[in-house]
Amino acid sequence: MDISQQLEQILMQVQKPGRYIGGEVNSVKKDLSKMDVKFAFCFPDTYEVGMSHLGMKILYSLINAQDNMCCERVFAPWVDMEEQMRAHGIPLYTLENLEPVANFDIVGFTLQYEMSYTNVLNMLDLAKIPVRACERDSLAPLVVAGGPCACNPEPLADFIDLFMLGEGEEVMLELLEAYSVAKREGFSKAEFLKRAAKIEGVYVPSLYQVQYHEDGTIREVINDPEAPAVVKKRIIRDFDKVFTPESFIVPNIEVVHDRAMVEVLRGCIRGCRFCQAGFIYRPLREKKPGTIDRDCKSLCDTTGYDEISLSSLSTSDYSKLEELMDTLLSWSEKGRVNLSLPSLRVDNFSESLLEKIKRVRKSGLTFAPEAGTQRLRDAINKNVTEEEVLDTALTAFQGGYTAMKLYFMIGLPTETMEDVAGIAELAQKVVDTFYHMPNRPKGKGVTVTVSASTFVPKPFTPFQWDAQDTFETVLEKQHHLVSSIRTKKINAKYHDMKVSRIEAVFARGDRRLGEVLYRAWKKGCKFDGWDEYYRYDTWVETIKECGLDPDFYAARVREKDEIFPWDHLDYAVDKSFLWKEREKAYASKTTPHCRQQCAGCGANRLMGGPCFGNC
Amino acid sequence: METVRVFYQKTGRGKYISHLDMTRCMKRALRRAGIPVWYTEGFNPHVYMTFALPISLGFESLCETMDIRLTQPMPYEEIKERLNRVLPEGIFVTKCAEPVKKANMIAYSRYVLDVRLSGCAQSKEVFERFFAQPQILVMKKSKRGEKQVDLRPDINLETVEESGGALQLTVLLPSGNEKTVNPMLLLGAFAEYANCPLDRVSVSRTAVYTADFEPFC
Repeated sequence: MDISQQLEQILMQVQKPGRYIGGEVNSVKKDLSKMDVKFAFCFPDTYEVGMSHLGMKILYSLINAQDNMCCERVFAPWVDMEEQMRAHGIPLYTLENLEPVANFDIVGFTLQYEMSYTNVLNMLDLAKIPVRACERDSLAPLVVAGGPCACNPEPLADFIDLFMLGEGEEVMLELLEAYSVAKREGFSKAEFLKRAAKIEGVYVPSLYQVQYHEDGTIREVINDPEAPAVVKKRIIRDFDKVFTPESFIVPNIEVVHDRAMVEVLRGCIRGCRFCQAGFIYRPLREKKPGTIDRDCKSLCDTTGYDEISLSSLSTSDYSKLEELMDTLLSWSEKGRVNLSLPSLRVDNFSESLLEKIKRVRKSGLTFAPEAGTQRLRDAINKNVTEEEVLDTALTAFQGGYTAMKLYFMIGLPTETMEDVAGIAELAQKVVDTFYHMPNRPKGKGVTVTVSASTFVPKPFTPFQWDAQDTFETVLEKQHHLVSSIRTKKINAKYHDMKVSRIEAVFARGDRRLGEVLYRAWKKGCKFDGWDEYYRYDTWVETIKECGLDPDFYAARVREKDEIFPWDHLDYAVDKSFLWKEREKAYASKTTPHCRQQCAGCGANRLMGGPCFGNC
Repeated sequence: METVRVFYQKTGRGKYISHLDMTRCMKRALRRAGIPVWYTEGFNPHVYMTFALPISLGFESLCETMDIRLTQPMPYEEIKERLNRVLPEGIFVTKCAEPVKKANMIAYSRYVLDVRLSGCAQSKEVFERFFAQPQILVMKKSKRGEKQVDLRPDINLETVEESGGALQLTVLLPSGNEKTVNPMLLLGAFAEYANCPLDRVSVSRTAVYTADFEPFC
């Protein structure tokens, strides 16, 4: 019985069967027998989450644009589906040809979030592929990974054959070409990995040996002579000419972000000191308005979507945003297409921009002041003033908005209880701004949602040396926040510290965590990002069982010159720059954004010159 | 404004698209196809689409319909061709025409049921014995709770065949505003009678009729 017949038996027994059968518009089904390289792109979370991810869409189109290569999609089956698959002996399969993943040449995972690591192991196992890299001798299937968490991939070093660092649009094809040669010439896996390690941006963990001090910190990382001592991340220098898909797969079932997405820029000029994305995607590169306009039109035509999201880390930092909005609005309104700008800042949010957003979208607005007091906002280099927050709120309320969402973080380095209370105070001032408006809409109230996540120190940020707050401190601060709120107009939410703690362990973890991951998965941990399946106690127990301590990774202040597990990976931002930024944070000193003045982070080396011509 | 009835099939991978997802899917297909559809007016305009008796998730159908309205004329054949170029796998337009009958006139559906019971030899004979009973009592769930009903008078069995261990039934069942019988009720009762679990079932609706057995068009 082939997989499609077996699926007939089980699909009506599971929730949302549409996510397991493919067949969507614009999906690409090639004749697998004619392919030189078959790539299975695995997203270690559900279909709904994975199909919302832009990076997967880009690489899917890129690989399928090559005549001799194919890319097919794989998502983590939900628990009910996994049970059925295991009971009926159905291996993990791709959605296009319903082909077992184990029959592909390369199995690639995207690492978006630390809490999806157990799903990587579980998907390999469901595919009937040995989870440990050392148990896989042959060239196929080669297991690779990329994405933001690849900047510290060490906890996954036991399982993944090679990582791609940085942006994938160029290195992916170079890797697949090299693989195609290796397959033709009959290279062994070991031979291929040594050759692959010479491709810029490719990190082969098995070619590096890690030695530890007695206290558990790293003494030395020794590279194989065939592999570079330091692996550099890849970027696309000319972002305006980057490969962009002309079409997206249109899911048949509703997914989280069910719309066209077009990137307007990559990188970020801001340098918020807690934000990993703000550093690892440097330097800033923009697309031209005409290019974005062309991409938007083509996506709407080929998908039928009636909403376009202009995405980036900070869309209001796009230098020609108003010009772009005018160009897009000239056809989008007639075509009944909505535009949405997901990442706006309060310090450059003008009335005319609001006017343009309002013409197309009337939902709530979200801003992220991140901290409640000016002192702490300066320490994290958020560079947003209270006045700007309140001015923006006023602009929005005058424009007819009655709901606003504010994002904050709890547990930032240097934070005190006053800073926590400041979150409630700032939210209160936003509420007051609404009620002090002389011309406010009668009979309407205001809702301010405060969402406070728990700070997780991440690699390649100035806070990579810092400790995460202890469990007790975070609980105390969360309680303090809630008790500082005195009105029902403010709605406060915060994250579960039990999740943030394990996220912190893996974010800055080393190779010794591979055993933890393996054992926790064996005990049944999976879908750790989903509350209903997250098992904190199992994680803590497993970490201790392996002779390790969660606090060593999460709650320890690291020495200035400690060798970090990710120090042999180069994300273009200098460690010395990050340390200087950390010192400025403790002095509550801000750093101007990249357009105002080059801070000398080092990322411009990738551009072969200044980022903006003002260095 | 012209109303057009689009007749389409929902088979293969397409049968796993739920009705709610189907409306979204059709809206996007109409946009991709560039068909000049009419949008409802008001605060939140949306594409005008109505579906007569949409098939349940997991069942195939050769006789689905969707009514749309056009703001500019377009030949039926062109609408059909444009849609078929952009529809997902398993959704296929067979024709477009002027609506003749109202959706609330639908009273019966014909289904072809392909059933495999595990561990049941001679399923045809067993089915014939099952169907020869004077009553077929099943528990039917409704909003007001469960109640026992007799299916037997509502089942118009047209053919029974057996091939390769699978039983193929053609039945005409009430389906519409007045009364609807889900074919799974019948198959569930049969499995219980045969005392063998259902192994694989495929359900396909092949035609819909009005109360006087005229084809719905």
